[in-house]
Amino acid sequence: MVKNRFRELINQSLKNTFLISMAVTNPIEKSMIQTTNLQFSYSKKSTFQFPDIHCEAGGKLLIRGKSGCGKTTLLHLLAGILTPSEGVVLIKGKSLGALSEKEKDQFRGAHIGLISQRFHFINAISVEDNIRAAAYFSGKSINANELLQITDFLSIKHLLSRKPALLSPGEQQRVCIARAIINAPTVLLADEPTSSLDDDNCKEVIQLLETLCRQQDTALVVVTHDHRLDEYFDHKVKLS
Amino acid sequence: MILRIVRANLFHQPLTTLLSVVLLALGTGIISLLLVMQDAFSKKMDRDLKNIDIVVGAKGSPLQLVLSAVYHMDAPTGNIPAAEANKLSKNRMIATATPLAYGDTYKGYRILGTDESYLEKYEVLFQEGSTFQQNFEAVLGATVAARSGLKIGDSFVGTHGSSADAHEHDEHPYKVVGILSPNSSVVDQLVLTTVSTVWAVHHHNEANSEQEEAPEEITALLLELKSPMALMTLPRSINESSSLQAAVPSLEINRLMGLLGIGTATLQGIAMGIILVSALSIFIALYNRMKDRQYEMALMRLMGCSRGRLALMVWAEAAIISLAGYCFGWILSRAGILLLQSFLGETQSWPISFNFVVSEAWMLPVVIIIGTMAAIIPAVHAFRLDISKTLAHD
Repeated sequence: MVKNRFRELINQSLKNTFLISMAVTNPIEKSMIQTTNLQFSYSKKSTFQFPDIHCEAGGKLLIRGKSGCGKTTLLHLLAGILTPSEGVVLIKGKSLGALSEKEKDQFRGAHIGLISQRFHFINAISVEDNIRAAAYFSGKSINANELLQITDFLSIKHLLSRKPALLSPGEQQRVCIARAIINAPTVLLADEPTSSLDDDNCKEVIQLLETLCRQQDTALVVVTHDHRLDEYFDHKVKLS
Repeated sequence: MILRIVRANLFHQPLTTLLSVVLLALGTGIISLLLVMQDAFSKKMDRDLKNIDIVVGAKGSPLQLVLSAVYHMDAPTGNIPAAEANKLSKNRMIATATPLAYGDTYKGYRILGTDESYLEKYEVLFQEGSTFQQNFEAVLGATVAARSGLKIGDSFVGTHGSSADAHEHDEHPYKVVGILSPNSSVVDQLVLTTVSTVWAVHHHNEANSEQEEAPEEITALLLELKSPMALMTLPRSINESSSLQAAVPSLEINRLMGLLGIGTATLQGIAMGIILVSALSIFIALYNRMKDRQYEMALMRLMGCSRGRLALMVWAEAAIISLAGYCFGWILSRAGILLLQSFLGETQSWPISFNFVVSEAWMLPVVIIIGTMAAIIPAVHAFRLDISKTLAHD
């Protein structure tokens, strides 16, 4: 058993190195995020196969699909909090599969911003500390100016001293956005950012994300089932 | 930032944290109090036992003899003829023999007829004045002097029997000639005078009732031996060959401690139980918090916090609670000591100190380890957390 598992691991890593070398020589070198032959299976029966995607710095990518087609799974694979059963995720030319658990945590903190569908906070500390924690855990330092600029832009500057649980859902989302963007990540991943918003707010939020990502030279990847977002993206991938 | 989060988490649910701290404080407080009392008790017992190898007195309970003659905590077993005591004192195995004659009391403090060797035995220092030279001169122990307010040159009268309202021997006032410095021993609570003073007071008393002159008697004899070897033979020979009883105080006190030990062991067991319950409450508090906070933890991992650091944060919470419990427990035990001292102060001045008892220091690592054990399961839980599943879970 153990031996087989070991052999499997070796094969896997050999394959990975092969794919990485492929990727490096790939014509789309500018890609900040890129996947090759990505597969994930929760059990033997249900295996998700994902189309290859890539997105360059400052670029935008929309991944669209019905619920249950593995949108969140794909996003978690991209964020490195799920490990694919096959294939490689390259972020800034680095394969997530080649990193140890600890390196992955660090890499994720520094290079990936994730806005999940549900808003989670460290409830005991203030909004400001929640945003600062993102910088702290990734080992980056932010100055007060940066924090004020971003929160001002997202119109949540006046909420900084409050506890996150006391904010409205709309405000909470903006805090999540601020927290995801504060480290100027390589990639910003957003899971259904507009599903619960009306048309006006939908437009506002997607424009905020676009502007922030352009400013920080961050690649924006949005997964959604929301048709209203189609018009904001040129580059689209459909999951089936 | 980590400290700030840990602190914020502790205050986020203040009541749960408080419960854990209070339980822990109660447990450590009780154990700490017991340790200090035990320490003080055995120290006092040892100090009062200074240079007393054998106590000789009338036949009866040996424990009673020791308690009455050495610690002045019990009634004496009776009197012994002075002549017989004198004869015994000449035994060549004996270094010093100190006679004790119990007289009256003054405001509940025993007036003890003895000689210079008693003062030497306890290495007393004079705060004022000097030792008794003649009959009806008295030296006051530090506590007696402080409580009564008597000064050098003042005179006072003794009371027959030990209760404050008994018959007073007002024909025979004592004169204060010396006041002792605090000695942290039984001497602090005694009024010392010569043996013949005690006789004089009582013979006079008996003469009043038209009786024949009674033979001279003393209550007990404290013996210091020349060599420990004599301890093996002398008590037996006294007990077998005379009407006197010889008791070895160290043996009797060991017996007494053995009896008391059951009580303290029970209390210690109860306190240990309290500590375990508090460990359980820390565990439950952490575990519940863990469930509430699994999203937070997943989030922190997402933000780049490593698993080890996350587990460390969980442990830090438990450690801080343990430390706080220990500190409050220590304060609690000191408050308990103050309270006890104000109760006991009237009758017994026990040298209970605020000093750190060595065995108390041992409790700190024990408490921290218990806290750590309570944190193990939640910390492992934090370590193994599946971020993806947690975040995707609705």
